[in-house]
Amino acid sequence: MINSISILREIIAYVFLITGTYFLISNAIGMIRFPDFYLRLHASSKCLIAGSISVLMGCIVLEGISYISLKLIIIIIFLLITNPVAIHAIAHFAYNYSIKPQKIVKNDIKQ
Amino acid sequence: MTGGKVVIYVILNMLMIFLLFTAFFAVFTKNLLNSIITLAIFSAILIVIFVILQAPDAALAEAVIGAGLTLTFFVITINKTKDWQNE
Amino acid sequence: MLYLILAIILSIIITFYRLIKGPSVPDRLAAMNSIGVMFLMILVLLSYYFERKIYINVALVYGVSIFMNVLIMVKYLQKPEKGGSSD
Repeated sequence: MINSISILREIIAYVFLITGTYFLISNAIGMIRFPDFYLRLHASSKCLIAGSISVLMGCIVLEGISYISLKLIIIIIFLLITNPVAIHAIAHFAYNYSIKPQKIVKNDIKQ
Repeated sequence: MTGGKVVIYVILNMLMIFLLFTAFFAVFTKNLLNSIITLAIFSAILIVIFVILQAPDAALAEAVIGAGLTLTFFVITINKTKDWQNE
Repeated sequence: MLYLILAIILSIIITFYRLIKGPSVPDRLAAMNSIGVMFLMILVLLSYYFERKIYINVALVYGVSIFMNVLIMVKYLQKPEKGGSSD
């Protein structure tokens, strides 16, 4: 009985880990295949946060309830707060470098 | 050697070759901003190599000093010189 | 566990191509952010491979360091605004 629960936990954990690794690889492919800077930033932000949180969730399931999983939850909350802030700051920095999107219709910041 | 030892050996050697490549790019590029951005990745690879070689105290010191303080001082110094805008 | 680390290192090498060839500085900055978070995942997975969970502290310190690097580079490397127009 205990053995089957342990096997089920490992299966769920490895599904999370493989999903996270897939998202990280798709982040890398999006970084080299998209033509424009803002498209690359779009791919980078979403896939990065999905992959990192999925990998950390797999580690939490593998660990169980303990003092270590509290640290992993702290890392998850920290990434959820700081990664959108960093991406927004990079986008503002790119607008300051006068990088415009290629097929822009209307510039809302300039006005 | 068992299977796990071979894979961790491959990872260690791949990271060391990657470290050398990053250092050459940081030295030989023309723009100073690219050099600084590459130096951050140099510190990151060095942290992973220290953890693989079972030295977490050196990895903690590298994460605070190498990837935090040194990069900050370089960026502030380049901002003060005002020469980077011309490239 | 080790093959996942190998796959993440492969994606880091693919992202490093963008850092070498990126046409502008913000491209390289976005690539640096991606590579930093990928190395953080590698640090967490390595602590599970060696079965020494105290190595997670290194990942926790390095996560703060990535964010600090990005914000300091964005703040100090901006061009001075012309005519004091703030947007």
